[in-house]
Amino acid sequence: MDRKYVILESSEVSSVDFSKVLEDSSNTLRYNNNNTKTFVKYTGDQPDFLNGKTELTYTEIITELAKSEWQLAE
Amino acid sequence: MLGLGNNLNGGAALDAAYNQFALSFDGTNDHVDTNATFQSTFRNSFSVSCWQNTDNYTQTDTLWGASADGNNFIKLFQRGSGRKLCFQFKSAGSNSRQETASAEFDATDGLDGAWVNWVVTATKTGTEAENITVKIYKNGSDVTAGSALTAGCTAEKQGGFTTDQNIYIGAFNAGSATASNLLPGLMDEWALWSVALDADAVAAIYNSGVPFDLTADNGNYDNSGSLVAFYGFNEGSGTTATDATGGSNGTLTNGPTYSTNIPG
Repeated sequence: MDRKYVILESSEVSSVDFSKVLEDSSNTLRYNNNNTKTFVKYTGDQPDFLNGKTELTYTEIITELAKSEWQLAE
Repeated sequence: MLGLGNNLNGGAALDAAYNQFALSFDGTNDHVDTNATFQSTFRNSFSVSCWQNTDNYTQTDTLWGASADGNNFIKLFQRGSGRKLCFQFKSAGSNSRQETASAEFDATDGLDGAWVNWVVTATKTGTEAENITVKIYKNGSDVTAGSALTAGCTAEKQGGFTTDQNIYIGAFNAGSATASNLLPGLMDEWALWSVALDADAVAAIYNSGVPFDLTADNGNYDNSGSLVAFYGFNEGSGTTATDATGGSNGTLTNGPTYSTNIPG
């Protein structure tokens, strides 16, 4: 089943229901380099706590994560 | 006599059914936390083997690694526009970087869906002042560039490698358990030894593209007694990657999945 992804503001992490997403906990979330954004992923219907958030496909999230703000330089 | 589907390596018949699964990473935030730093192993001669399959190429994507700080880190990664594989080991501020002689990845297709076995060996030399020697093997053959990018890690400095960060597979643990430079694609059979494997052993491990159980010697592979960690990723379900040496079991983090697309 295809995964879907939603980018969140770091301030929204406290609202994440980790039983509804594939991330293990707040400790394993990946943040951008200035720690202002993170994301979660799930399969199936969008969890209620993410209602209204823009849903990204795998291709779309990979494009987003390829930006320099998510990557560490060599 | 060999049965159908079996393989032969130096006279020993292998169980073709040994390898059942590989791990599939989506490259966003999933990885394996080995739950171990392997600090003491990395302070002396060592080797790491893993199998990779990807149809994507992104610079700096990391096959495995971890960083305690700017002076102590280790990683195997896809390097730069030259699309080479690079091993970097910085210990006590002393840096060693070695890459492959040629481009190993296609700019858009990565490894083009083919399985590749990578082995890195690091040899601690005789005197404390001498630099360690790093070699990179692809499918059993030495593909190390003629000169190192940086060759400054001495045996003395290697002995001072200090880290409290677990090695991640499929990502770089950039410190404080932060996964970065994540690798999309398939990984299988990650193994660490406390010796620098010789060329014959590396060729035996490749075994014409068919992995085998590294906990037992087999032909020219006579290093099972030096195995420190071995994750075959053959569980097929759950979130535990069993270390076949009985050492540190790994944790599948943020949803890697099992794939039946395996080497061989």
